[in-house]
Amino acid sequence: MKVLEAENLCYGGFIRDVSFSVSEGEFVAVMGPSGSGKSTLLFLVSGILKGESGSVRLLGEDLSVLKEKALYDIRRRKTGFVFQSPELVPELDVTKNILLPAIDRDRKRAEELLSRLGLGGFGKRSVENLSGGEKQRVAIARALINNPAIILADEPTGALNRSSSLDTMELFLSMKREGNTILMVTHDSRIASFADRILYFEDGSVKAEFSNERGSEEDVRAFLQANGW
Amino acid sequence: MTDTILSDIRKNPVQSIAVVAFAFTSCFLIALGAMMYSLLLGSVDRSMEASLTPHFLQMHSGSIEGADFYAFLDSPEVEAFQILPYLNIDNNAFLFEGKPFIKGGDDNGVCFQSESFDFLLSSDREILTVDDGGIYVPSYYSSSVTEGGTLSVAGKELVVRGFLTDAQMGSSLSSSKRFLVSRNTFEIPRESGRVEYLIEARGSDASSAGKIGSLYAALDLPSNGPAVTYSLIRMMNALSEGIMAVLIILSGIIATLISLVSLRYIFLIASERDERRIAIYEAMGIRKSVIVASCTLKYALLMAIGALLSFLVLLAVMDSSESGISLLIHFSVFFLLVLWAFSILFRITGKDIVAALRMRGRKKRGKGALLLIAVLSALMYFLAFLPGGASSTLSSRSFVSSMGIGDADIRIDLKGEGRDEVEEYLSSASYVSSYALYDTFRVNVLSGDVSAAVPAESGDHGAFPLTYAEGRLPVKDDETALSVLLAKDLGAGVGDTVVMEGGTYTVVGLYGDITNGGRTCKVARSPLSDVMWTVAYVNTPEPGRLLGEIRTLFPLSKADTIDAYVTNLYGRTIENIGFASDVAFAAAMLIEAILLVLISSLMTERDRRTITLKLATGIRRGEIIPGYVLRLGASVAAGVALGVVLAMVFGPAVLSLMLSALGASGVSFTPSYIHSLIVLPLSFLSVSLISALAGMLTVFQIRPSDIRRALL
Repeated sequence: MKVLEAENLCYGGFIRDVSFSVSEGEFVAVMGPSGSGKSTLLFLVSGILKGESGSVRLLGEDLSVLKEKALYDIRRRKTGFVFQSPELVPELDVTKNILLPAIDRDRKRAEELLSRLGLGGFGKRSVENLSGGEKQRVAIARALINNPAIILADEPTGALNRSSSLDTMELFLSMKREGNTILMVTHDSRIASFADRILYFEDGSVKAEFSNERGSEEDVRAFLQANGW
Repeated sequence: MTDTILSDIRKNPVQSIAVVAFAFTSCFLIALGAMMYSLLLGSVDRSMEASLTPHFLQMHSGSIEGADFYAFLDSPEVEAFQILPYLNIDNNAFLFEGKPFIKGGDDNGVCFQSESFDFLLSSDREILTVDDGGIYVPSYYSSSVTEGGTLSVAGKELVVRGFLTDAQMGSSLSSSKRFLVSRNTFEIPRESGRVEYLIEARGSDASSAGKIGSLYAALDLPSNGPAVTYSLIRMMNALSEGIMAVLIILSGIIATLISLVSLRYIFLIASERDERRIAIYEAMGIRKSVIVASCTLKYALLMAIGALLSFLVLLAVMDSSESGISLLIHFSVFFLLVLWAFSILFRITGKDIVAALRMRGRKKRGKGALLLIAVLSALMYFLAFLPGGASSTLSSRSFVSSMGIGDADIRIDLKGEGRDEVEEYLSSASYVSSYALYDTFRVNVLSGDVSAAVPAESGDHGAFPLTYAEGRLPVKDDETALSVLLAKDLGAGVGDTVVMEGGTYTVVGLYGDITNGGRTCKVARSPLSDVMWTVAYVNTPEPGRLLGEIRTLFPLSKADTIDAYVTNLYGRTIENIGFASDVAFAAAMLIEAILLVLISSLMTERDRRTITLKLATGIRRGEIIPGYVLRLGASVAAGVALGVVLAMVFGPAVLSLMLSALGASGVSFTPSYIHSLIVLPLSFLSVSLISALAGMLTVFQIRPSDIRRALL
């Protein structure tokens, strides 16, 4: 089943006639240099921005015809965002941060997520005392709280060190194995190599697609080199 | 949400206290002014209602024998009528515990309680009755006389039973005061004074006063004295206190405007600080309205604290009878501030989600802080300047001369006998530089269909000229000048003609006059009817000597320096304006202090990274702080300079509006230059520098070791 479908999407010259889809349970990475339009693409497929032409369907629902209130609603219910900086609320503890966008304020679910993400028992801690990697895990838990149809991640390891980055990517993999669908934007080939499929993005359009069957960074590098990227 | 709000307040104490303080100041000033105004007007109205103040009053000095009041009484306009005797006694004949206590030139006398209307009341608005050995003293003298003490009136010793409220003559602008004695006591010292009569009438309501007055004048009834109406009495009662309330309200409005601008700045800073986080929340699907509501709630809580504090302070210091008005004002100002907060937050929150989401590095915050300080300092200077300017203008000689009072050293008021003798004395006294006598008589002035019976003054108006609002003083026999209020009543202006006692006179000038009800005229020719009183203005290098001589030789006259006369006339008003000036000054200093602490701490916060780098490279705090303080000080100085310009340009217009209600026109704005150009600016700069330093104390929380975090 297609969770996300973008067709002939255009936006302000930054996104030019982009079409792609993400199936249920897939982990897709959109990779490319800085300024290529990757983040803009993410904002378009989540309804934060509206394309000038083309369409975006999320679970079959055409986002271009929805009003603002409905877009907020669909984002909250159907998507989970993970950004480069987690932007947790320092005044709230870990559990309350996770529950911030929650539709049902289910503390049990929050605690379950914490356990799954290796932060069991962290519920009452202040987020200010967490490491960068731990904060990002809390952000992931926050993104998962409403059982979203798709996780949208914008450079989720951009602010982390190597070790924390790899930990985060392992988490993404385990989320994928649990059946979550993930669309991730990154400029880092090492991070992109964790995805099932990589869309190479440059100058506002998808230049190539690479099926990363082996999940190997070398394969990704070879693909890029072969295309002169 | 509660956790976030409370924690956010704790994390930003300076901003939080600033919001509370702005709300407090705005609510406090407006509510204080409104309460005072309501108290005043309510009190005035209630007193006048309880005392059944006459709608029309004609004072008459002299005999009323032979006067036929029947036609007047029979008129359908007149529903009640009485003639009350008033024994006008020399001020020096009033002694409290053996010492004179009456200063100034007001007439003071005794009367007994009326039986039908124009009652003298207690402070609880009860109609007073007094025993044969007792006396009630006008509350005007409550600071000079104590209850239970012995007050001697023309040698008769009486016990002070208390203080009375005189709805008719209680105002400091009224030139007569009444002491209440029993009917028996009234009879005793008659030979010690001069009997005058208060010829009073009431119609169906206050609006009938004009017709009653016209009828009285038309019947040519005794009128050797000023005539006043209910509305004029009310105005005089209201004005001397009212101007203070109006000034405080004005200060409150300016303070509120300053608060709104400052609050907007605080919201902008907070919004920029939280911009990215808010964008992420919106990306997660949390709606902007929810985010804005949460922010608004935080600020509303702080404003509520400020408003509540203000309400409680006022409840403690003001009359609780006005707590209803206070509550209404507090709620209204609070509501306005919250609405403002919501509208600003709604506009600035989530303006550009995508840009905020893209934001990687730190964004420069707090642009325009120095300009904001300059603009607000200018406004606050204006706020502090206005009442002070009003006070100094009212005290100045130029104001005096635009009020119908000649600019001289000494003023002598004469009623009845002694006029020629005083003139003879003045002409022969070698130490008198110049003098002029002005005789006042009653005249009917007719312009078109409108007529008014007013006091007219004749004499050499060029000897002690007034400041004319328009035109000039009358010189020829067929010329007249009208007071501004009289001209307004008659619908006449410079160049028009009016009829007085059958003769036609050209209006050559208009002048302000707050004496005699504000409605008078001047002629160059000799009096057209019996002289009611005479005023002599004298210039002398030895005022003390002249006063002594006049008081000894002519005990029935009232002589005083012009300054003392003016102080007596509206010293209370000036005192009240002085109070308003103190309140406005305190408010301006408080707001300036809050603003500078806030801005300097925000600047430190904004430049935290730069400061950390400087400290890490060995630059000391003592070298960093002065730069900020100097920049802030320069902003304040620029603002004060702008404020001075604003005050000099707009101050006269604002004051003119206020004073025109007093009957004052053509007022020459006379600020105290020492106060405006030295005291106020120095105060602003001192408060600003101290506050800026206080706000910069956060620099001491920044350590060189923070460099690691700063570079991330």
